[in-house]
Amino acid sequence: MSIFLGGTGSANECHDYEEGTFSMSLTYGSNTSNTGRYVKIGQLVWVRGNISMDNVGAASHVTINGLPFTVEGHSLGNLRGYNAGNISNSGMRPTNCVLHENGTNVQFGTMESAQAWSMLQYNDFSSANSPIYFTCVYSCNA
Amino acid sequence: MALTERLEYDRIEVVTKYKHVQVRQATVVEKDGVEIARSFHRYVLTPGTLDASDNLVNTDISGQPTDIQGICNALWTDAVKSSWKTRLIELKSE
Repeated sequence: MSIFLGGTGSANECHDYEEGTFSMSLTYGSNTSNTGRYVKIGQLVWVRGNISMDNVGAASHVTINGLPFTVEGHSLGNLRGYNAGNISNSGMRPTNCVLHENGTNVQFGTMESAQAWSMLQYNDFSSANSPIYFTCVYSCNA
Repeated sequence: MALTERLEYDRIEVVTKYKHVQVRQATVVEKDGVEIARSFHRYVLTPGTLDASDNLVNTDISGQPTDIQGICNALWTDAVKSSWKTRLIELKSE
């Protein structure tokens, strides 16, 4: 069933609304206890979640798996907040969530002082159980 | 009056040339056999992930319902896995 808003053409058709939950996991560590929420309107997806890192020793990008829909195009989201006190590399300032085309995960871009864009790594944190909160909006394929 | 709750995999979608399988799991609450509430939980199955040496590790689908296992096994050919592996390696540097 569809509804039409502002016209009767296909570009005005909304045929899909859905909300629900998704499970998150990290590429390093074993924390899978957190549940995120999503809302999908047509191809537009909004997600919100938070998770704590229980392994901060890896020299690898912090990556949260488990998005409810595959990302259609590169997208950016916002960090709602993070535990800045636990970032041991003082030059690393997380700025945005990063979602890659055809991906199903979230990473975190940082702007290092006087340096180029890079990704936040697990070993940028000084202590385990550092939380990250995020909100992203992206487009999906179906 | 009898309240019951059951899980139902009510939507399975295949997206992208890499054959991602998007699964919607519905929790259905019924009163005397009549549905009174339905909530959703979502996840996406991809052909695999990379290990530290950039080898593709096949996604473990043994815990999935048999129909979803069948879909994944039919779609995730060697060619699809190879293409997805290439894409994953590209993603590392994007």
